Amino acid sequence: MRLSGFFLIFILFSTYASAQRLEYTITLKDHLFFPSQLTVPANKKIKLIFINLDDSIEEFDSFDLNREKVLFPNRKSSIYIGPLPKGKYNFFGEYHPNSARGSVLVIEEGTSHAN
Amino acid sequence: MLINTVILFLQNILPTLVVATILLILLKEGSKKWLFHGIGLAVPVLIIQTYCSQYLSELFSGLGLEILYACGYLLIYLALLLLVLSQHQHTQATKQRLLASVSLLLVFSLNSTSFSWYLLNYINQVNALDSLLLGLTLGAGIGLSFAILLYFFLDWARAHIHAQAPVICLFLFAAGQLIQGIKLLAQVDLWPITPLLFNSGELLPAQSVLASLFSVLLGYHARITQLNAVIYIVAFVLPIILIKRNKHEI
Repeated sequence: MRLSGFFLIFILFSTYASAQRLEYTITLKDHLFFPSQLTVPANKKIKLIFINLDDSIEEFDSFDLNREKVLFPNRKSSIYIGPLPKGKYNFFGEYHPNSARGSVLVIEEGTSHAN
Repeated sequence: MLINTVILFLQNILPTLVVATILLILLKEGSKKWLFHGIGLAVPVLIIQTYCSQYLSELFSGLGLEILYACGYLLIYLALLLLVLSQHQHTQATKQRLLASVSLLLVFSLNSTSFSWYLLNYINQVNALDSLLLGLTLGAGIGLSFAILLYFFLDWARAHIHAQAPVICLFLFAAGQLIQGIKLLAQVDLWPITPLLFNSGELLPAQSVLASLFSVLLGYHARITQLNAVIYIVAFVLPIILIKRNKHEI
């Protein structure tokens, strides 16, 4: 009982903390990520929201970001990344690695970037 | 697609083959058949899990799969720890058999879902079937060859290097599974991100074959945070200390 209470507080706290994060959306359609390059600020935790518009499952995978997430068809899902130093972090769809590719470009805040 | 099938299959099946091989060496003759019971039970569990995953993923405000899998990885660690400790305490064989089956069931069902989703994606496409079957055959051949080599290596290491060599390998693997669970919690913001301890990406790039192998077997990540490094070391060293203490008590 005490454990489940602690777990609930943990989830509620994390949901509250998550509400403060910057959010970016990536859409998957025809096995392609849109946008294929995302520009985000350095040293901040970021919430990435995925919308899979395809009728098949895809797995978001990134060695650089150390993240893996299954994207179920016609569903929305999310992960958190960072805080990251500036640089380029590649990602790909594990089931369609030739077409589903993209990157997260992390830049210092205040730096202008032509996208 | 053929190469992708082989890589995905190996990534998913290697953890099961490794833990099964180490347990084959560690368990006594009468307990070995229980490993097959574990695998036998894991197949229907995997099928149910594959079909329920998208509903499970929506639990806890969309954190369902990560939380459930993280708990699963923690259970793998605990089951392997209790199994090895029970061996050194000479307790009932039934407990060891049960723990061996549960560990194998969890390792198989948690590490194989990615491939089962991949199979579901392509199984209905007639033109993909040849590549899938060939990829499965090649993957199974490479995986089994690796398991056989590991079996003979551990058997040799136990006799010539240290009697506890298989146990050490088992806990390197178990600590890696624990780190996989922690990675999932960090992914959904339920685990603190501490500063990086080191980044071995230059030395061993995460996309290399060796890094993939280490990732599957030992939970290798190029960017290691301080907290995760401490957890990995504690998770690896703690069982060895407990085993030594148990031996002294006996």
